[in-house]
Amino acid sequence: MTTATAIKYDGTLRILCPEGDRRIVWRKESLSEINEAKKVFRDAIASGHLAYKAEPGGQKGKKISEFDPTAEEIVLMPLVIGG
Amino acid sequence: MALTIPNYGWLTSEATTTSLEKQIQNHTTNLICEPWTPETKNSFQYGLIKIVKNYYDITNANNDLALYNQDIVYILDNTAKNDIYYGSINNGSTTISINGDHLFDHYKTSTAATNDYITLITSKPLTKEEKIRQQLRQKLMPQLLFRRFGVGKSSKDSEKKAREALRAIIGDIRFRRYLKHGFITIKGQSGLIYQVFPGTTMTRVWKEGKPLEKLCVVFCDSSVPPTDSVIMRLLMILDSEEEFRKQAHTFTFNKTEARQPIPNRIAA
Repeated sequence: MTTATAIKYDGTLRILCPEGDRRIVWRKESLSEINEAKKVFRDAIASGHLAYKAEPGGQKGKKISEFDPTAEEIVLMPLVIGG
Repeated sequence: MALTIPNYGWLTSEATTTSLEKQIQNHTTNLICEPWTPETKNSFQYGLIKIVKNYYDITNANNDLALYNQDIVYILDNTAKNDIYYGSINNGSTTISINGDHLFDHYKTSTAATNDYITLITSKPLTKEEKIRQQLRQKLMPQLLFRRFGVGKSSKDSEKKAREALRAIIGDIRFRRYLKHGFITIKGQSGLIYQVFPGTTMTRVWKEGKPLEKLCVVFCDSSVPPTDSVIMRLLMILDSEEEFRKQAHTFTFNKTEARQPIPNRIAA
């Protein structure tokens, strides 16, 4: 019998897109994962996305312009307009 | 200790639900209930209504129980047999209407709104004159009950992913309410309450229980799934209400929307 071991990630970057969302996850101790997430974050910001750091429970949200590896949830969203 | 109860939710029968209540009292944590099955619902032969305080809610979203501190009334629709209506009700009221449609004239209860089952007494068919009188009366009084539309199931993978994202952000309890009611509520630092709907539906803003305005903010890309719009509005409002307002186009409430119950009863 084999047992699956779940990897616990410290942070998630979610990019809202027509496919639902694209997720990039990282562990605080993995520099390569953080760098990958940081690169995706910067590319998205350069292409006009807005970034928000969300706290668990959805009680707080803060707009950010720099990648924060200590954040649990970062959401990148495409441009919005007044409808 | 987890306890699994097969195939019934609140409105199964008086006997089983009473039994369920006892089990809830004994196992207030980790109680698991399986989703309601269509067979269970179709087994109903008569209208049953339950008014509870501090009710435990069982939904299909998580198969677990949550305690809500509000009065709520559940009504099984005898004619459709596949629809459950629910909403809040005032103590001592004797008329129940849904979306302005008259449903029942009278109901009996020993004590109002306290974990009591009430068997409905259906009214006689109304004459034309009575119908007109009733419609006039309903227009004059506040609407007690309404049907809340949940977001429903989605077959699209993109929407499923978006909902998972929302669930991760707002937590299971609020997410379950979102599935059930079709919106989330956010209390801003200013004290205003924002009622956020998926898709392109405008965000309703309430101030001290009164309708203030509607704000419209949407994604430039219209192909983004509806629930992603909820995430977007939630985060924008939490970050800065002012910025959200600046971004939005503002509209006023229409008469029907203004009459609907105040969402802060189910605000997080």
